Amino acid sequence: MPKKILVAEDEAEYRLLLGRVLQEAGYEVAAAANGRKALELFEGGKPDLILLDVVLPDMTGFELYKQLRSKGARATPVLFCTVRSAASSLARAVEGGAVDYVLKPFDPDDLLRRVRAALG
Amino acid sequence: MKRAALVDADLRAARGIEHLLIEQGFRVFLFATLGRFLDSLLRASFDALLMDLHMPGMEGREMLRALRGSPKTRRLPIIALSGKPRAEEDVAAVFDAGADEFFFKPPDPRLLVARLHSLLSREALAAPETSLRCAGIAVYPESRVCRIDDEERRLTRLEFDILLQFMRNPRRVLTRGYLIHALWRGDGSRGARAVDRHIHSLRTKMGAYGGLLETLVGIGYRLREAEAKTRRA
Repeated sequence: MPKKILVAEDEAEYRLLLGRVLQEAGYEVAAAANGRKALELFEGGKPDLILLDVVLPDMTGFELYKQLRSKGARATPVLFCTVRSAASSLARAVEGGAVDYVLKPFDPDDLLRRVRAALG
Repeated sequence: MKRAALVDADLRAARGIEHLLIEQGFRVFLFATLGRFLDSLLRASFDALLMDLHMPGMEGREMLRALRGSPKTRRLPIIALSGKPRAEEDVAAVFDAGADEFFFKPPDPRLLVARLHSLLSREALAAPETSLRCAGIAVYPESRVCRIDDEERRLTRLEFDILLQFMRNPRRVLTRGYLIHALWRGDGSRGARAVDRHIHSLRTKMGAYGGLLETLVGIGYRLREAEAKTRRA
């Protein structure tokens, strides 16, 4: 049974890239372009890992994470991804419970290492 | 008075180093998080940075690479500090990421001071230009020169800027959206096709190394190579 990863990423190219890299590595991916859709997908089937962009069109990744936690994602590992210029916000992400982060643009091999580590 | 930034979440360890630097005549700015240090860079500059590699919420090597990619900190003398057991630290990778010096904590005070002074003297001697290298490609960002197998290759301004993006981000996938933003500050009139056209031309000029620029259909490109290294030429 492949592990399921919920991805919330508004930029289509990054969404496609994340989906492709994760699926090629054997994961099942549910991808959303905004926070509302991510919440819907979460309700449709609890993921093993959540990968959240810090900037989404309808809410921040931090706000989305808060809502996901209130819906039962408290124990689900979360990785945040963001651009380098916003890297200082990652300290806040980790304080908020994220297990790790990925800086965009990212190296697919590095992403997979972090995903595997987060899934334990 | 020289200004040293000291980034360490362990305040007890940081105080020891802070006192040492003050004794040596430095003005010391202590930061408990890398985030606060990065914020301070918006309004201040430093002559040297001493940073703990293992801060909560930050991967030290990633941060070193980010600092080396930024014009403001590209040449900043950086001393990396680690509280990890010796067997668990990949020291070579720390240098590869951009550290100038490395110490396990607690550092030997005399050695730390000597290395710091040595780094500052080196900077004062008008350091030669930094180059980025990958396989047989060498790029000199300041003089905007590109050399392929030690022969200068003429690139257009945009081709050079594109190559620089890849050299600064080896192995990372640069989406076309990212490149449009980096090259034209997100000007929507510059489409993905313009990026494709310039990359095609750049590949041709890269000769045998053109194949290192891998296309990810519908997404963007990446520079394939084991590791691009920043060196002092």
